[in-house]
Amino acid sequence: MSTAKKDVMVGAFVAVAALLVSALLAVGGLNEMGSGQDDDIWTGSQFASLAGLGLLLLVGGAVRGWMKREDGPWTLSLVGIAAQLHFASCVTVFALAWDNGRENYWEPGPFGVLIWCWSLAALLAFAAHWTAGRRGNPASQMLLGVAGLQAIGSVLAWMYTWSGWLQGLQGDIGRALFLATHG
Amino acid sequence: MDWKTVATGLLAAVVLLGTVVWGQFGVQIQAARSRSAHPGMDAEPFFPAPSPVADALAGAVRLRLEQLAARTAPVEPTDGEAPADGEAPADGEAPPAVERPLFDDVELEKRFPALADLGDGKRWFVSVYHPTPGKGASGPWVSDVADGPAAAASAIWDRLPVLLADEGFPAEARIKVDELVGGERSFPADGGYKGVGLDEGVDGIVLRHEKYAEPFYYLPSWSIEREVKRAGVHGRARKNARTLARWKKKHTKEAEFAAIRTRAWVESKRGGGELLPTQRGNTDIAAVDAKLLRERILMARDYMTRETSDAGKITYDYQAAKDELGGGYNILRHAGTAYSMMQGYRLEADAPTLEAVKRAVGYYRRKMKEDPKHEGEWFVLDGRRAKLGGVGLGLCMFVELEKAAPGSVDLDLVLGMARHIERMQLPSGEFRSFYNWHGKGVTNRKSIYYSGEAILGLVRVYELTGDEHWLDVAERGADFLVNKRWVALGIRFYVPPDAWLTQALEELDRFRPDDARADYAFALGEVIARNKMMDPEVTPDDLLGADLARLHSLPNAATAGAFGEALSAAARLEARRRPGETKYLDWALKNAEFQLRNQFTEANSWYLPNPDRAHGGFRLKQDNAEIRNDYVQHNLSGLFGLLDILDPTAADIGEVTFEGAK
Repeated sequence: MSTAKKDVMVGAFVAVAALLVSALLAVGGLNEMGSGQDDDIWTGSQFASLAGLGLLLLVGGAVRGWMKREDGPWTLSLVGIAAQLHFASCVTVFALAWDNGRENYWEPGPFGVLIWCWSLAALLAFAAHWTAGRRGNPASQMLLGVAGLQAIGSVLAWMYTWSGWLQGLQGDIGRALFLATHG
Repeated sequence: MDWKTVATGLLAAVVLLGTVVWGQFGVQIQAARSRSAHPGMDAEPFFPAPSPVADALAGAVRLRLEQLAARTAPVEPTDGEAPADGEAPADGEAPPAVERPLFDDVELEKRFPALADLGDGKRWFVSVYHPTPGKGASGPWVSDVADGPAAAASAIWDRLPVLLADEGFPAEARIKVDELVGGERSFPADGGYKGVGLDEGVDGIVLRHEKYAEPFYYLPSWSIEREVKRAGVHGRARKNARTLARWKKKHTKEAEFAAIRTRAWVESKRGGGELLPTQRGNTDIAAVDAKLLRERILMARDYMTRETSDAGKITYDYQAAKDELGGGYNILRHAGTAYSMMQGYRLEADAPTLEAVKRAVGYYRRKMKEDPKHEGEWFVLDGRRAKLGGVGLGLCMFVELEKAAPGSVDLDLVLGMARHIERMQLPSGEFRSFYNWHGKGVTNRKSIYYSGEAILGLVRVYELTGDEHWLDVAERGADFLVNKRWVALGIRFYVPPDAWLTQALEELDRFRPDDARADYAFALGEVIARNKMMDPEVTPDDLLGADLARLHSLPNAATAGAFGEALSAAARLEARRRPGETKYLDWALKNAEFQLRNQFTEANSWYLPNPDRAHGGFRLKQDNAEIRNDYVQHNLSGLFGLLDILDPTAADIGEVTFEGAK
């Protein structure tokens, strides 16, 4: 195996590791979070640690992929796919935690970590697919649109935490739906 | 870049996103599509205008019922004379009924000329309600008026239970008149998805079957009166066709059905009175002003005074539609309720209330425990759990009592509770929600509301004692909630609708003003108002100021009480910090309007089996007449806080009473 190919493979390996961590995060969220605190096996910090670890691996893979982008775009494409999965996993865990009332048990830190992880993962996925797609990678070209929507969603979610206009819009939509279904 | 591939991927992503959004909102959109405008109702106001014909009809039916009732009265012998037949009835034998005047339609029309306009293809219904305390819901007794008011009254009279059909019946009865209006509207069976095709309380149903000459009419208000949710309205109409009109079950299933609407009016009180327009099982209210607020606060206070037992327990859950008691008890709500009773007392002194609160305080006192590890520190047990909120609300209760009746409270005990709260505070300022008094471990759950209750309690202790130390503790706790709760890595991801904290911040701001805390209190008000209906142009009259509700439900009036506490607190803060602005006051007034619509008064309790007991209580929602003590507390306190703004002479919600206070 040539050195260039080996370099590409290292990046790909890191991306696959990130993918596995993301999958573990999602599976953990789906299986380890009951409706009551006593049912919890994983703590908020553990979820946050996994999310952070996944993001670190993604960044590592992305750096490797960027450095070797001329040797083959597949590494960056894999990083992009892993980042998209990581985004989905973080969002899922956050939603499950909220749905199960974890905001009344966990410290705010894990929630903040999850928000930052999905936001950065979304931006990373878009950048990785953009770079790989421009170099002719068909998978990245296909997934670029999804990555774009994920990035826009992340920005909107972040804006929602401080934008009175967006929060008001949510209220307006709720009111419109209520008035359309109640008379 | 191959943009065609990118576009294909993007399209797939949009389809995926659309599927997700449809999964979230699609059912609501589908449900909305199953609804349609009711024909002929475009120009119809929500509450109908007064109607001379309805007045005449109610008057005629009442007169006829009084005449029928009078016929059951025993003959009163005139002085020194025997009854008409010359013989006194034997012992134990009922006196004979005598013929008394009984007006037919001609006679009735002479007395009520507007009855001449009953016809013209209009369809009218008369319903008669009568309280049945202790016996559960009964009635109403209903008749259509197709054969005239005399026949309608007689039909109702003939159906009355024997125990009610006596001479006293009309004096206790209330008459409701419904006039069928508009056309008929088709709707999916059972109202479609979650019953959204029907509005409980607004839509009635007509069932038609070839086997029966007359259609069966299920009147709109029945859903509210019997707590029928929208998904159950069609089923209840079929059931009532069986039980009231003796239709066969299979015929009710085969029957054609359509939605109907009525204009309805109800007598203002038992025994008669002017007709009040009614809609969705409710009557209209006057504009919210200080006078109305004062009247309603005292009504709520008196409800709770009546519901306080000799042992000091305050009825937890009264199911007013059934005249039954629900189960459960909660010491936090007990303390909160006693606290609000004293607010009512501060508005207008009243000995029974003061006595009731003292009994309630005694009940609370018996649930208190001195900390085995820290002498002189006190908490309260709710079951086996020592909740921070129980001590916070207990402080509010004790302080309110002491403010109104100085010397009533053991101040050492109050300070012992405040010291317990201080012990529950971590160095960060955060309060633990549960105290591990028995050493067996407690849940690490962080209650959203306990901290705000504790801070308000501490501020109230300061208002009573003037000891700045309690403000220090309160300030540390408030700063944690304002700056650190649900804040991480530069993101504030949740602002809860925390009514207790809003009140605490408003009062803390009087003594320790702080812009960040004030802004957070305003943000809490914004969060609450964001999910409310505040636009009178598009909102049904009776839902103005209400919170959004789920598809199958009507807005929660109990929550509106708590939100009233928050919005009125924000409005008081606004009056001090943003002179000339009235945004929060406007919101609080609209919220109060919704609150007042859901308090049981004489006008809107015509269908309850025991309206006297429910009088002054606040229900859970329009189609659920459950009155829990905390529903009444939140509503009373919210209105009290609003009155504080509207009426400068009213009691100050955060009155400072310590010696030397400015």
